[in-house]
Amino acid sequence: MSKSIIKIENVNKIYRVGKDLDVHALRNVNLEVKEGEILIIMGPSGSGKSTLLNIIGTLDKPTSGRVIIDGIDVTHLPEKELYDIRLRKIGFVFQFFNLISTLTALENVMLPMILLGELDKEEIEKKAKELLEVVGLGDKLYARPIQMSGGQQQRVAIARALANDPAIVLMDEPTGSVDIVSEAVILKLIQTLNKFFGVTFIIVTHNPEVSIIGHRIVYIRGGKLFETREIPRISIDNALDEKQIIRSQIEFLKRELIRLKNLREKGVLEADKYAESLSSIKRKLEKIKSVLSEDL
Amino acid sequence: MNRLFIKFVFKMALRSMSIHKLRTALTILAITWSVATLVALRTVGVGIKARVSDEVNELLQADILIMERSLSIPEQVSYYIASIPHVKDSVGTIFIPAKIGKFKGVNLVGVPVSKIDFFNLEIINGSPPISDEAKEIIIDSDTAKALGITAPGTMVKVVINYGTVYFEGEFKVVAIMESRSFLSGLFGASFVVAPLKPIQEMLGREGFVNYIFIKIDDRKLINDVARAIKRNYPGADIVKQTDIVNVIIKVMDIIDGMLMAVTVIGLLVAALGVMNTVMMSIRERIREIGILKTIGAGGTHVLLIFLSEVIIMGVSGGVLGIVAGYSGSFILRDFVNSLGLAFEIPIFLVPEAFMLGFCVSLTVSILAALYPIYKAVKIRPIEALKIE
Repeated sequence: MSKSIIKIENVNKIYRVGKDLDVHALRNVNLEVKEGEILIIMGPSGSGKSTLLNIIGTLDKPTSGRVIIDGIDVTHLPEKELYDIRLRKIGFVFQFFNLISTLTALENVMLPMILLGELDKEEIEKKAKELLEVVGLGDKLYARPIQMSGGQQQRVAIARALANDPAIVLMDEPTGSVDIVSEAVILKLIQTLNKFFGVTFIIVTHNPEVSIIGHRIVYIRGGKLFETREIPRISIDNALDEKQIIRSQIEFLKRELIRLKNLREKGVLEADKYAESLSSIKRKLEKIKSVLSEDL
Repeated sequence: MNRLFIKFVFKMALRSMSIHKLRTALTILAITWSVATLVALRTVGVGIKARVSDEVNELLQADILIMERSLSIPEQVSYYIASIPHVKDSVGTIFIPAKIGKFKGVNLVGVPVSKIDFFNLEIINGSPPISDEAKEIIIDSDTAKALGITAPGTMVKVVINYGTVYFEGEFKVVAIMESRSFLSGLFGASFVVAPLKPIQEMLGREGFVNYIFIKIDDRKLINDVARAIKRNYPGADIVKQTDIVNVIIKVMDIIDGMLMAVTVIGLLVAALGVMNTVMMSIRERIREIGILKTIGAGGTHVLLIFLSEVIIMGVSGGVLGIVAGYSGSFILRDFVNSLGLAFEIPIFLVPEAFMLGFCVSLTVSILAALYPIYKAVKIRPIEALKIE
């Protein structure tokens, strides 16, 4: 049974626009997202899909209802603690202008890890380089955003979103401003990351092309989730080196295991958290195993 | 807050500033200019004050002065004062305006020959009188020039026309001394020194003087000594060297204050420049602030990102301002000199002025940036992301 990563319970969001005018952006929304899922939220503009994404991402608070992320009820957390939740648990990718213009691709990916401050500089740089390799930008480490195409920038944003091993990656129209080739690459990347890294994605889009990579689609209209259905998974042609990605993932997991073991030995990490982290790594390994046996 | 992030932040600031080179340069220039003005005024001010005390010392050659309008102080008083504790030396003199040659106005100082050393005269040519009876005179180089005298030995006519007294007599120039003291330069008055006795005789006031110059062994005790003199000679008009210096310094402080007010206007302009630059920078990067906050940067992180730019501008403006101000103080000195002050203002390295310039630069920059940065820190990520 997969773990529940996001749980939205009876969420309402009302914006007060004028003195007597309320806009009901979300009405009694209930939603659960499991670990390893790709969930697509579709709907026309103004339907409330971005509001929902913002609430899941702790950027906005619901008027009523509860939001639980990776077991933590974030509904009433103060802004200070929300920064930490976003830093550790959530990766964000927006439609455009995702990157810090003064930083190189590598530095952009390093940034969340630097903010977290748990790894030393060499480790951070190594991991950032590997993540950029994974998204196929190993040759663009020192490029500034302005020197990259829209699609490349989006891939840097994806690498950055993964930097702190978040529980979930939220995407708002990730292919909305890129050309069709880049779109295919990005979609393939999302699918591959999900397949081999076990990354959970929630993607907001009104582009049906994007929805083909989803495990599940949720429609939203007038602030209401009115239909959900499971869809069969369609694979996109191989555009990325899967072997490289598996190698990176196994390398990440190996290093993470060593780090956790060290922390545990030093007594910094509590026993239950250690056990939880170990089981998360185990689940990821099993995922790789099952994918590999499928391919064989 | 980890060190790696702080390093990162300064790297970001430097890059952002290099993207907006002109804007950054102009802002730093504004800070530099105001700090330079501040430092230059301070440096020259300190130089002038130091020079003023030196000059007053040199002019008076005494710590305390007793003055009377008329020649009414018995000469013995000066010997008596010499016996008051902490008085190192005391000279009774006649200090009187006179004309020398045909029209040259001078201050004539009649001094007992044994006490001529008291005044530290810098003799250029010749030697001072050795006899108390001799009608000999030491003139300063300005007077010598005005009279066309190049070497001792010439006879000059001295005219004293003071109140009801009128006298003229021939004196022999025995020495030429250095003209000095900025006050003499300022008032266009020169000094000549002669033995006391012939002058007393000329004026018909043997045994009397009108000025007593007093040196004490410890300047800290100047008030105590002045009080002791007052006790012994209740009617004496006592002027302390410190009083004169204080009056001059007070006047200079007023001028200083006015100049500083002008500097403050410059600082305000610089502050507005910093504020504007930071506001522009924040406005341009509002979306980046949104992204930073979305990926987990807190208010402190955002604060540091923009504060680092301000710190870099403040520090570089401060340092450049100190360098420019110190170099500028030489120009300012030449300018003041060109206004007709015939004395060389010394330029010292004044660490206090440098510290002040640096602190003011940094403080003003940070204060000016606080409001725009505060707004950037407070903005919610969702609002920042909405602004295109």
